[in-house]
Amino acid sequence: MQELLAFLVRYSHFMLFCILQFFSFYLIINYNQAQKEIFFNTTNTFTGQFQKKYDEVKSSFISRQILDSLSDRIKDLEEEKEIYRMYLQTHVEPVKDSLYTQKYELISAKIIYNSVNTWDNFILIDKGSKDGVQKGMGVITSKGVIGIVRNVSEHYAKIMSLLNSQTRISACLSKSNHFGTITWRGIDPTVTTLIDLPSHAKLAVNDTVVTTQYSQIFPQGINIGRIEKFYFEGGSNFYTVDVKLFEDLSNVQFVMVVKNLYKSEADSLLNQSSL
Amino acid sequence: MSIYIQHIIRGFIILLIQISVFKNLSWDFHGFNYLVVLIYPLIFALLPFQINKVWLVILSFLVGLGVDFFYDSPGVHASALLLMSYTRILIVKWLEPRGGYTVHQNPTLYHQGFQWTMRYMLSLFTIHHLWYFSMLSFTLFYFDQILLHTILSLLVDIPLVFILLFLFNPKY
Repeated sequence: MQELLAFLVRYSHFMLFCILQFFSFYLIINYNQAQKEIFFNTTNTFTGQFQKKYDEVKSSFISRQILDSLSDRIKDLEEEKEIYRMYLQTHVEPVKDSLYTQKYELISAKIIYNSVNTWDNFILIDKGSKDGVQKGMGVITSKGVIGIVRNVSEHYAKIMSLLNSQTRISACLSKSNHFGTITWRGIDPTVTTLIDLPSHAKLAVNDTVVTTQYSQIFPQGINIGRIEKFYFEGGSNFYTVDVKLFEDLSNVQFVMVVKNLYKSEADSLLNQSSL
Repeated sequence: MSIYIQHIIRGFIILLIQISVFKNLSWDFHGFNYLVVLIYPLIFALLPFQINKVWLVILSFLVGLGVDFFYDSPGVHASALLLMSYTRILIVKWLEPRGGYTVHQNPTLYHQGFQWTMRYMLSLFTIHHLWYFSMLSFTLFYFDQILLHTILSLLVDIPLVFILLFLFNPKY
């Protein structure tokens, strides 16, 4: 200990010199424009190399994440396929029934732009009219509803996501068929609001909210979220329900566009004059 | 009059000349200033041998920082003067005559003679100027220009220092 102290006293001027020299370097780099640029350019050539390596490792992790989500999806589909196979084995239908014909077609797409921090959030996907995407189609993932296609170009489509103040999607409870409209009132990107739900419907927290069978946009029973809170809003005779979304819209990579093969037929019938 | 007050007054006078006269000298040619006169290291070159090393380091940094405020280049002069006054300790040891320095001797022309003073001043000013111009350009890419600047500056500064020493011939 004494030796150490003696050493420190003996070389105190040297250590002081080092400290002050470092401090002047700090001053030179921080308060002189030319030196600052040279310093950061030089260090950037080194840190740039490091950053490149880091990005490589990071992207390999991300692609692993994508693989995980895809394999989950495959597992789900395999299970579904198994159920249908069993169903077909037990029900051999000689008559061609419209119940078993394909009504929806899915177009998978990758998200290339996404926002969740504005009032009117949009998502851009890399499939467009060339791939069969049309205006007004629904967009879903394996977890839940994402939004509705608003504009289509040749290779891209712009989706009005659930987190858009103009979005109106009809939804119902999975328990009963009482239905209302999903809107977004901003602020929280994980919560949407279900309005116009009749007051006699029986609600409970954590009930699942799904798409209705009346919609021509989404298939019946696609998950949206679970009930977080329900209340009557200032004298209204309808419930207002806060719905916690199943899908985290700020972290979506792949979506599926739902193409209703009979939509035009249904629409034309709906729009026909009743006279 | 205490020799410390004498050193302080002389230091302030040299600094005043440096920042009022020599700072404004320039001989620009194609954006290259051929005339950079820096004589303020003389203050620290003339300090007595017995001075506390810690004080020498601290003072040189503060004076360098003061010069930086007038040259608008924070840290550059401070760094150079700091390095110079630290290496002064080593140079004094290196130039020590066989018998050692006597108690009343100072690093001046009066006590040490022309040859010793020349070697002493030349090594101190070379270190200071080389470091100063390196810090100013901050890259070894222009090493030839740093070297040219140093040599041109030394060609003016060393004669200037000796003229001052011959004129005043200080004992302290």
